[in-house]
Amino acid sequence: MSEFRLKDVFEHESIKSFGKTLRKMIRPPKEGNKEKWASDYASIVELGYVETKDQFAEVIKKLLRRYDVIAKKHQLKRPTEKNLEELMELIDKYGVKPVRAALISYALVKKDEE
Amino acid sequence: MNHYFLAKSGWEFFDVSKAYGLGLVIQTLTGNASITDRGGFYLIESKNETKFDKIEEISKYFDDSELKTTLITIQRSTKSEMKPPVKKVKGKCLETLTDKESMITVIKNYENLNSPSIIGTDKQTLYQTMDLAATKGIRNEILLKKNYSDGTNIKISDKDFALSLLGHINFTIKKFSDFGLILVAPTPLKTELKNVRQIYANLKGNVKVAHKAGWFPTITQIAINLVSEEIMVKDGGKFAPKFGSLIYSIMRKTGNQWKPSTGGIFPLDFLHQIADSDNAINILNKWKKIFGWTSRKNGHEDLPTSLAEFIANPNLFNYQRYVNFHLRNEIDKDNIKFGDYKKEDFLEVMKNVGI
Repeated sequence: MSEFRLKDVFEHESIKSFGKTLRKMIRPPKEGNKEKWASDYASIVELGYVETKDQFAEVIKKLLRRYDVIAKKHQLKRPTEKNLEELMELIDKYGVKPVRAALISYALVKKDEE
Repeated sequence: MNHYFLAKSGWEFFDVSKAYGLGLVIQTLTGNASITDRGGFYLIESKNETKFDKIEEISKYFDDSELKTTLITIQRSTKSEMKPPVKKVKGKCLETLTDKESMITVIKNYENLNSPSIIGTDKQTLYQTMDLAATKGIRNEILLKKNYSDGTNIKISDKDFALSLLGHINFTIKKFSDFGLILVAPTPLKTELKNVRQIYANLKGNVKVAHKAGWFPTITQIAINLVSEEIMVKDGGKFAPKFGSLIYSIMRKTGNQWKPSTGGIFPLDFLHQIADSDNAINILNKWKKIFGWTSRKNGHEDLPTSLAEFIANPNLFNYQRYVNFHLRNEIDKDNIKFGDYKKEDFLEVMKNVGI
């Protein structure tokens, strides 16, 4: 076990940005009783199986592609190029598993505190 | 300060019960006692001198319902009247513990650190519930061409048995379930006996039934509630753990016979790290809610099981597994919802997950 804790990864700006995106995709906001768009189960399933940096990049690419459609329609903020670069740097530094765990954790944080 | 030393024999459940039993006797005779696990021995301390005229008061700690559970292997059913062998054991123990002259010698003997109790050949059988390791007994050497034979029962002295039984009745959490009987005893860390009794009484109220998902989530649920109770006992405002770990034994019933299933030690370190933070109440309450709400419902076993494994061993793999189940539970429209974490609470949990 290294000296790093999951908290160190979770607090990174790029995780925050992609974590918010993932949360919006899998837990869409509600309008009345109805969700604004269909929940993106695929991203959470695909993320669960990634083992390498390339696989992770592929899942993030798919997530962004799906998110773009919704972001355009609902005028949502998109993660920046810098966020994406930093996310990949985090994988080089910590590995896929901690980054994935930190990202998924964002989906369980209270929405108003993201 | 008066000190009493109880050397460990290596039979963990028997040792911890005996220490609580001796602690309860000292508490009765002096009005106060604290108990500490010092590794090789248990230390019982009391500020006051012993008053042996109070010795009769010990009999009030022999609750019949608890006794029937503790001696389930000879009682058979807790619903039936107390069976003659159980009555006999109770009478004999009360006789031993309330004999003033004999108890003066017993207590005097614990004022110095002596050799541990001799386990093996004496008068009184050590029952399975009081230490799982006692079940199979001690076997004679199987010599060539001789037939296999089961071991003989583990026998201990009447005094050791009476103290261990007293501790077991009053400080072991006992839960019956579909899969058997769960017995849990916390190991004390400089803990006032009156606090342990209060915590024990509260725990019995908070964890009413064994968890549907199995014995491991049940023990974790007990651990979370125990740590929540520890927080409530303030020592100068700062959190100080009262217990080091949980010793547990699981027994299964096969036909009319009880058999040992498994046993071990459940660590409380991670829960204590959480308890020592500003977010302790929020986090522990959320986990209590998860275990409490799923404890009687079928089809909700994954989440409490993964959370139990994470709490016992907070590594990245177990964390990821737990978070996945929690998230899926929140997404699923038909499931009971346990809600999201506040960011600062979640950070406190993640602080303890190494990568």
